[in-house]
Amino acid sequence: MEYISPEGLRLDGRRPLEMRQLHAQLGVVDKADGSAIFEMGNTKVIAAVYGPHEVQSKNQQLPDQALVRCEYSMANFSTGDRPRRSKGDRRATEISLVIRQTMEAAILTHLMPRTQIDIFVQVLQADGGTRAACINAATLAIADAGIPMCDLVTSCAAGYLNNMNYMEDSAGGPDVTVGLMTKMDKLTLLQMDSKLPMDIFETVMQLAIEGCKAIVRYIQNILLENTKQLEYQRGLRS
Amino acid sequence: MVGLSLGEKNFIQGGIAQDIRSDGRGRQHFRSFSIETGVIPQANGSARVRIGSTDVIASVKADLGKPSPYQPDQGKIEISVECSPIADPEFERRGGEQLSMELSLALQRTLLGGKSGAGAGIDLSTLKVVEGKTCWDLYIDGLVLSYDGNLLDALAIAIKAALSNTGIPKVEVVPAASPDQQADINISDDEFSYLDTSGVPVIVTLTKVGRHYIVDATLEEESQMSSAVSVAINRLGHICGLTKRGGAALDPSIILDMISVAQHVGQRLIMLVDSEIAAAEARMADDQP
Repeated sequence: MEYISPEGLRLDGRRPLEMRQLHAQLGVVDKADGSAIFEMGNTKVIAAVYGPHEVQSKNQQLPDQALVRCEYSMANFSTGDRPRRSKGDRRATEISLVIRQTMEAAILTHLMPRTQIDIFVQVLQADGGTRAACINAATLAIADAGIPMCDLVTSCAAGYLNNMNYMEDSAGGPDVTVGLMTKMDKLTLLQMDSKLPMDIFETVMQLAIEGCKAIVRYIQNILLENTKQLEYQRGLRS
Repeated sequence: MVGLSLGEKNFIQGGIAQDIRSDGRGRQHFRSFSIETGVIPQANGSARVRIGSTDVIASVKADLGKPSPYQPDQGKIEISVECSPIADPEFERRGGEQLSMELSLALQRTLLGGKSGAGAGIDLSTLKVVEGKTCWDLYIDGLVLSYDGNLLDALAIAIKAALSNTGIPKVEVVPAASPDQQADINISDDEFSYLDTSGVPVIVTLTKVGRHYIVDATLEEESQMSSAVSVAINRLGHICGLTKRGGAALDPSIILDMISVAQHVGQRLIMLVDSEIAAAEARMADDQP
């Protein structure tokens, strides 16, 4: 099967290094303290943040910082076929852990000791790069909740092609997922599937990092727009 | 949800008694809702319904399967609801299981009719492909994204809209050359047939607070309920299903009165839902190139 046509176009018409179309919206779940929906092509993810609030089980309370918890769930209809997924399955647990660690590095947890911050991520449509989309949605949701972060964390997945969809991902080639603290230019997440020669690995990682930087530019615009809207609503700007 | 103070509880109960609820509605007033169809492109049919802050998605997936030996000329429908933790931190991990089960079973009771398939909202014999061998299995998945009361009504509307939006691929059956060979089934990629959803009911939940009952309760109002009766009403005004929740006992005459209120509200609601679904489908058709 051809992943790049003779004219240099991928299955969905993109160029090899091109990202999918991004779309994000803040404040989609009324009850949550912060929420956001993030779409990367056909991958659609909702993140909701509850917190900071009192820790539910006192023995897990941390005396000098906030406790960050995360749960990742995929809807039954999110993929093309419909596997009956049990809630505690291993992939979901691993991704929950990955998102939690990534966000914990960015949230200024020492400002909110003895509290708990819950991040819930729900995948509505899965078409490759769900892990990355979840981290991007979580960043937006945490910003929407007004929880202080030291930097915006964005994530992107790349292989030989940038930002692969499900078909390209299933081809069996390498898949590098990168989480980047954009202003500080530091990596908080690095995962890879399959195998790559070392020199190509550097190129692929750079590709993913470029993707992260493109995403953060988009996210910053969304957040600025949102703040403008809030200012209008409060009459601080006419 | 943060608990309500005594003053707030009195305010809610008093308002209901005086027919002016906290958001200004009367007791029999349904909140305005919005329907969006085709939200899940990879499913055969889908819809998203928002009633106030309650937000639910229903998706329908059709797969070929084997019919039950007791009903060889009918397809099968399975309904399953999931409460996403983004709606409430209590739903994390297995916390939402009980509510999900309750909703799934209530919806199955009202929409699927009896064990023989009689009385179902959809005529199951239209899902037959090869009698006794192949039929369409419809898997209806509901997902609760945000919870501000009245989940059952919202899910029923979403399922009705999703079923209206469902396209079942046309199948061509090439009969087997001999009885022990399998018939060949060709599934069309671009021709679809749509289901007749005129018989699918909507659900009206009446929540009893104090001595009065209200339609379409918000989360705050539900926290004050003593009991609730959910009635499924179809277009003809017939009752398709009945569920009573809550611990308080109800006088039989009150139940009969609740049912007649539900019928009255339900018939208005079903006309509104049908027109909203038609509008949503028209909008979707306009959006497509």
